[in-house]
Amino acid sequence: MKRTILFTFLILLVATSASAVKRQKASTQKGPQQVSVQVREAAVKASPNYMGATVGTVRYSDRLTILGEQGSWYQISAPAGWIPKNAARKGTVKVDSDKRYAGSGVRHDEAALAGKGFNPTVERQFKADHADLAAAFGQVDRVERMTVSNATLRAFAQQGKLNP
Amino acid sequence: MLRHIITLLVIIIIAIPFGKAHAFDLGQAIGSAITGAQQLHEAAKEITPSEEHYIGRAVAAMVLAKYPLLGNAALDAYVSKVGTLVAYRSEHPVTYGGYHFAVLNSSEANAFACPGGFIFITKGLLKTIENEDQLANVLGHEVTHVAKRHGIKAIKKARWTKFAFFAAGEVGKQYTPSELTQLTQAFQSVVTDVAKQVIDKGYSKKDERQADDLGMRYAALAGYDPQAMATFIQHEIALGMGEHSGPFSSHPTPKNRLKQVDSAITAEHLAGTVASVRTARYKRSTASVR
Repeated sequence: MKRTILFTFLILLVATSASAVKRQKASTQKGPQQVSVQVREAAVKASPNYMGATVGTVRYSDRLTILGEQGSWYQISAPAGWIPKNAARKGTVKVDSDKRYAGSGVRHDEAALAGKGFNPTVERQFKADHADLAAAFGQVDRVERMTVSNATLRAFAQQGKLNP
Repeated sequence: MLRHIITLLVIIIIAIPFGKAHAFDLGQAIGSAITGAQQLHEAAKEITPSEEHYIGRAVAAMVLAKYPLLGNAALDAYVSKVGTLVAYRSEHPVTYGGYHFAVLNSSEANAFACPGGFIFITKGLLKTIENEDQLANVLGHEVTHVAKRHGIKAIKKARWTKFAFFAAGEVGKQYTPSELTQLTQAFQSVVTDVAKQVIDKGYSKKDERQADDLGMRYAALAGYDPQAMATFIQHEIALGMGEHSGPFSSHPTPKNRLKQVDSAITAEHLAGTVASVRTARYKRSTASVR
């Protein structure tokens, strides 16, 4: 009896898996590839080069259509330009609507990462449990605010005879 | 065997309501069940860039509690420019919150790479480094620890598996007090694992070798002299650093590192020159700590 059940299910499994794979293949052939931004934000470049001009910015969870690839870069349609491949992932990055937090003073990060494991809410609780780290977290915030503009980097590279 | 069949049946029954078909479609149900099982498997091993960022922030806070920032904005800006140029050439050029570089107020010659891209270098190490090309290679080494997620590998598998199943919840959900407590405990464990690795134990010899190898290549791609990595290690040897004690005790011995770096430079014809203009600005920028 057990063997009969097992045999029946194996046949069903093979048949239906083949059908599922066929459906999956069909869906991937439907059109241009879609990816979702998985970093807080990424600069969209005019050319596949970090030192190139910035033509726009994409933010966490934005859905992008890939027009082409070159090395470690994706060419995207809107805004038209290039982003590093590791700034995005295949599939959808689901987020809660920012609207729910409108006027609440909640940061974009907190809204976008709600329900997603280790996030600002967890960090806040961790900080509350570790008052001794308060000053150090203040320094981390300070470090995170340090940024280098693209124009400054270009000038620095040029002055140092480095690759453009 | 019967237990396996029952399990499969249960998965199918659970998956059916989530199928897109309006009518009963056994094929789709089984397809969904397979995908669902794959997702659970993936969830158990995947740490998202945003989670890596928040783990990195907490580990960075632990580093800074022990070694505070020097607080020299001009020096931080200089190190950030060199580090960012090198990080751009890595296989992981962007992180959730970006790469950030800063100088620590410690005479100990050391550097720390925290997950997500927080990279610290002590004023003691800057004093040891002789020029910008060596700095670029050292920062390339640290960038590799971030890009190759060497710190994240320190998380004990059992902790992560447990957390991943717990955290694979509803998007947009506000945690209940009990969930938040459990998540924070999990976060504490994960951060402790990584901080031990980053601050105390150091990375494995294999990871250190990879950091030397790739760090040198990232620096070369940015236009720096990869040979400066070898020169820096020779300088370390001359100063008696990096042996089996002190902050570099986890690294392979300097002589072994030098051998590996020299082999890679020769085998792959990596070349470059130390530009005097860069050395001059290194001396200028680091004058206050020399």
